[in-house]
Amino acid sequence: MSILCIDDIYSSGESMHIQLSYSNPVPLYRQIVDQIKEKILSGELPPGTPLPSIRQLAEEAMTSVITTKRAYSELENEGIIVTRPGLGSFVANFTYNDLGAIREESVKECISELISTAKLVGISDERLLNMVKEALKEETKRYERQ
Amino acid sequence: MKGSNARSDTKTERRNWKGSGDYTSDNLALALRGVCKSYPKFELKDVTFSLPRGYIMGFIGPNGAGKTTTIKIIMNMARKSGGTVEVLGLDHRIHEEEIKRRIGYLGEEPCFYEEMTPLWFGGFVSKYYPTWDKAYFRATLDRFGIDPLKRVKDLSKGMKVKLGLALALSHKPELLILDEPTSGLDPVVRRDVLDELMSVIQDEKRSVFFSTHITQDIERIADYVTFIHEGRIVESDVKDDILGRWKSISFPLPVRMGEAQGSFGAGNLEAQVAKATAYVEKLLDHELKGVFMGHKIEGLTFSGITSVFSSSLEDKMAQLVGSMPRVAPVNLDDILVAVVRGNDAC
Repeated sequence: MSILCIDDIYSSGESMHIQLSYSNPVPLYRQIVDQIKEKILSGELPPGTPLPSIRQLAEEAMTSVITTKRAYSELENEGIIVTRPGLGSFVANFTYNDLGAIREESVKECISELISTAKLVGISDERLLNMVKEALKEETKRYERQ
Repeated sequence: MKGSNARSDTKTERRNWKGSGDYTSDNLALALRGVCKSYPKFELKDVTFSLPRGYIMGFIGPNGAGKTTTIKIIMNMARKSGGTVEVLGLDHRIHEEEIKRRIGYLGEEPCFYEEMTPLWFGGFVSKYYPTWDKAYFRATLDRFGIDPLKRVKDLSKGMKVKLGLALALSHKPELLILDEPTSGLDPVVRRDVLDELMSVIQDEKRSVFFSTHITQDIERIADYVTFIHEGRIVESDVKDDILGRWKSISFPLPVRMGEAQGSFGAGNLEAQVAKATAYVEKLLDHELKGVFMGHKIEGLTFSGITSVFSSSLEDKMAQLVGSMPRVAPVNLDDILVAVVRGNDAC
């Protein structure tokens, strides 16, 4: 990682463009986690990028400090960002392998949610598998049409 | 009503993001314990809550709930009949002078000498505060779009409130206490005020306590929320935790549709609905006792508001009524209404 000077950190004041929806059932901190994660996984925020401080982000997104603090600690727990005392928070320096694993992890999360919903409403495993296959086919068709 | 909330939250995680577990009074900006006060027709009863330094607390209640009385007691403008009040870790009566130097206060209707100018007020107020920052005052007037040389009587209501805020902020108070700062202001001015409060707490040593009955203002920026109703504290916690625990829940009545459709008589369906309604009412008295602050059954749907939501409650309800309940977020307004109506109903 290149050495960052203080100016770099403060110039991170550029907007993160977090959009929060107060009517969304997803908790606010989760909305922040998801949006930052998306920016990191898509490569918009490459490894080593300095992030705004918890308080800066709260001011920018007009949300509470506790909410952004919780979002950052969640991102830290997931290994996506690191916080250096006195310097601030940065996008973690993961390799391409890590990135693949993180991406896979977020898909796995969605799958386990899918499975528990299916179980709840009583859809059999075979039916679920078929539904997924059908949905994939649909998606491919739509993609080809475009 | 302790936090039994949120699906994936482990205890450690909650401690982690809430910050260092136990606060000593030294890192509390404000701490009230068992504060009481009685007037002939109104009393404050056992008012207890605290605000850690570096955060914003919204103090919400309907008109006449005791917000201004509580603030007057904190400010030592009214005498409490019991309990303790600590401001910045100091007793509010013993250390009144020091506290007043270190905090900023803006009352409900700031009074100004109408003939004087904002600049004159800056000079006047600055004499009381050794920490007064003249440049900051001028910059704040500028940011708020206030002409420093205009007479106060020619300023709009919104401008007067912003002038009050500039005057309350320019000695760089460690705690800012505001009584209904945004009521009666248009959305643009309210936004300016909220932006200013957010910039105050960029310094993590500074805190803001503000009362309001406009919950949207708090919904966004407050870290902590305290609800007061009829002189009692109903809820006081991290806002996100409150919103995690309070949910609106609805589900279709567990009517056996097969049976109802089996015969053509409408009477049969009615009987089924009555049976299901009675079953749900029974649940509310037993398995789900105390879960809902208020509820209604309309047609074939039950809906209610709870302050103790958790994923285990969701699962339990799914078992009891045979389908997954629909859980929707509520806002602070909904909570305020439920608190006021719920208590009235009791």
